[in-house]
Amino acid sequence: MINGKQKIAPAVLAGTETKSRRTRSRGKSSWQGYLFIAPNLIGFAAFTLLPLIFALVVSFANWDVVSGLSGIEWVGLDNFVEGFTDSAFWKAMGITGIYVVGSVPLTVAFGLLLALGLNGPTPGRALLRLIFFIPYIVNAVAISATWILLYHPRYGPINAVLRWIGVEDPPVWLASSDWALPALIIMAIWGGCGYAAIIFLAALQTLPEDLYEAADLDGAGVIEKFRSITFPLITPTTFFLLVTGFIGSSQSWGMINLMTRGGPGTSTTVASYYVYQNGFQFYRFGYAAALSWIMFAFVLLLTLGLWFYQRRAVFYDQ
Amino acid sequence: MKSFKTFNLNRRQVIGTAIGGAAAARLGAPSATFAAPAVRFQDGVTLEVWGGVPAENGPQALVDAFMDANPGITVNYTRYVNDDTGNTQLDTALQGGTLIDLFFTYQVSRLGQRIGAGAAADITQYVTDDAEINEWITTTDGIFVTEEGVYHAIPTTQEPTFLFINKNAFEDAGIEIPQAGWTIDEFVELSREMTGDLAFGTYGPPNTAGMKLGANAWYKEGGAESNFDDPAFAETYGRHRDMIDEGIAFPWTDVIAQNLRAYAQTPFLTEQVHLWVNSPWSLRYVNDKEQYPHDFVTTFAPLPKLPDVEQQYTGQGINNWILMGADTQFPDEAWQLMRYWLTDGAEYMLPAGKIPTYLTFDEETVVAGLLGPDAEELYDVEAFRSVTFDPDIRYFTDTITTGAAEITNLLTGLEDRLLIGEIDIDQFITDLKAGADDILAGAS
Repeated sequence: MINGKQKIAPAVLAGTETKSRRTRSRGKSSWQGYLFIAPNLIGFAAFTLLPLIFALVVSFANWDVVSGLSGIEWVGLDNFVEGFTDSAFWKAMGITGIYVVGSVPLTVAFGLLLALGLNGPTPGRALLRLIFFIPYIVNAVAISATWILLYHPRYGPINAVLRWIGVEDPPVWLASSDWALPALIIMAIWGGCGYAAIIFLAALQTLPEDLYEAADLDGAGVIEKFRSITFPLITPTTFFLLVTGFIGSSQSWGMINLMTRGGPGTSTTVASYYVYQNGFQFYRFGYAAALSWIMFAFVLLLTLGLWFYQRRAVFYDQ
Repeated sequence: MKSFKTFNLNRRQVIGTAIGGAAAARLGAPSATFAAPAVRFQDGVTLEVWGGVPAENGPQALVDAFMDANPGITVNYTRYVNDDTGNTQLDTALQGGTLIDLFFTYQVSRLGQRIGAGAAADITQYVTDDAEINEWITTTDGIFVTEEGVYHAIPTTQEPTFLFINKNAFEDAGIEIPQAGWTIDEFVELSREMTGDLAFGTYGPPNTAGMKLGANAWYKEGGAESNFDDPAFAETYGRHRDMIDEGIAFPWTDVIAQNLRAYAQTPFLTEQVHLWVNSPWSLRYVNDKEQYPHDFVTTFAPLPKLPDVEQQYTGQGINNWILMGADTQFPDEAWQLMRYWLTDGAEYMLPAGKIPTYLTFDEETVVAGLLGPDAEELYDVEAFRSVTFDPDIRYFTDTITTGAAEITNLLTGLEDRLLIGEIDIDQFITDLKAGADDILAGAS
């Protein structure tokens, strides 16, 4: 026992010493760690957290900015009650729903098709990837200006092609309440599918070759391999793209502001644009904040719904 | 209910006083101390000015000249973009403790909001102590006040509306340029005659409802109810729709598709339309030969006459209101700069298309400054002079601004749908009236 003690003691002592040193070192390293993330943390607090808190606070008030903080008039839940009974807001939510459902699944589907096409030994693959990714990084103003020209009812190339193939009365696109939203959806798909393709490509390149070799031995065709191997294995990526796509496109504002300003009429007034109008045009910042929180609740519910659904539908490789 | 006041006096008298009575400064060398009361300013004063015009288009030259004439005062000009977010930026700065000594406002609704919120200083004392300014302000149409005899804002620019006309196209067609006294029916007929295979007669007709009704045209009952059931609205919007349907006015589908609502210079300067109703601020596009190369001469005509309207208004009005920040530490110096902007300094704003409301220099200076060095090549200068200094121009400023932003939004949406043919004029008026009444009911 004594010997044992003698043998153990240095180790215990050493352990104690190491622990103490580690504690000191952890204290120092965590301090340094916070220092390293401080710029980001400060930026997050100043430009995200505080505005979020302020938006929550001001959603219980009427506030026009012009009157300053002293002009805040507390109204309790009135803004939320008004939001739930505001037919224009719910119309805007409906338009948002059409925009999201119309653009996100198709963006993901086209992204997957592109990725499958680019995954094989295609000549100039790197260049093609770059070309498809460009819309994702190009300035929104440039994209809008280009599409405005493309969609021009009389001189636009799109209608020129439609007339050439025999469509006598092609749509007037952005200048029609019926076609402006589909036009924006087409743009969103074009702008987003390159990004989806890059993410899918990354996923495709991690798929195990042995599964495909086994399928080949079993005589499986291309479609069968896609259905039984590829698609199930990339469901985490698909889920990621769907969720981030739904969240992102439900907040779409920039392109709409640049191209249609919510019109013609209110045909492209999505919820985020309606919130913008109430805040920056009508100076009803409290009401706009309340509408934003209602929107947030909807997006959260949608995301949670998808989250629960993915438990059954998404295959995670353990 | 947001209701304010303006003084509406005889404009002819005002122009006469301003042009005839004011001492004309030498061409190109305005006096920085024009009739200014002798005031001893503090040294080391810095004034912060926020305005919507880019510094290089005039404001910087103006503040430089002011600083030269007033050593010891430094002026910093900050440009804010005069759109929704730019105005919110200004409002946040005004309320957030940013030092702003002078600032500009370009919409009456925002003017009412800012004055009502206490963002602007009361300058009544400065105005009443200054005999020349006091005389001018009390005899000018449409000066915006929240209470009679109390001043917070001074308009620095007048914006008459008139017709820009492609003179060469008219000459080629053998059609005479319209002259003062022509009628709105003649406008429609001329548009018809000037329409060809490659061009539409006009971009669009003038807003005859505004010309007929003047201030607060959207409201009745002091702002408790909208006025869109007045036949003047059906007439003006119906006329525009009919002209588009007939193919003699520029298609609204193109206006929407190209985002031309606010800036419609391209169709005129690329000869897609030959008649264009607009204001002097658009001269800068005609002057810009590099960006808008064109080889025709632009001539002008006054707005057509409306039947049964004795004294009609111009479409736009007086604008570019300058206000003193409520928290300025240097009100005397700020007033001096404010006064300079209104009077002699206004010459530096001419290249931006800003016709001064208070003329301290002669017509020649105004015309030369507005039309630029290529005036003879680009313009019919005499026609411009006659429409700009037309003594019959009557300005107005709205005094009721209840729900103005919401009604503007409603009107824009319905106007789009009417002019692209999705709804007819009856539906347009019904929806506009009902929607605006709902907005006003909510606002009250």
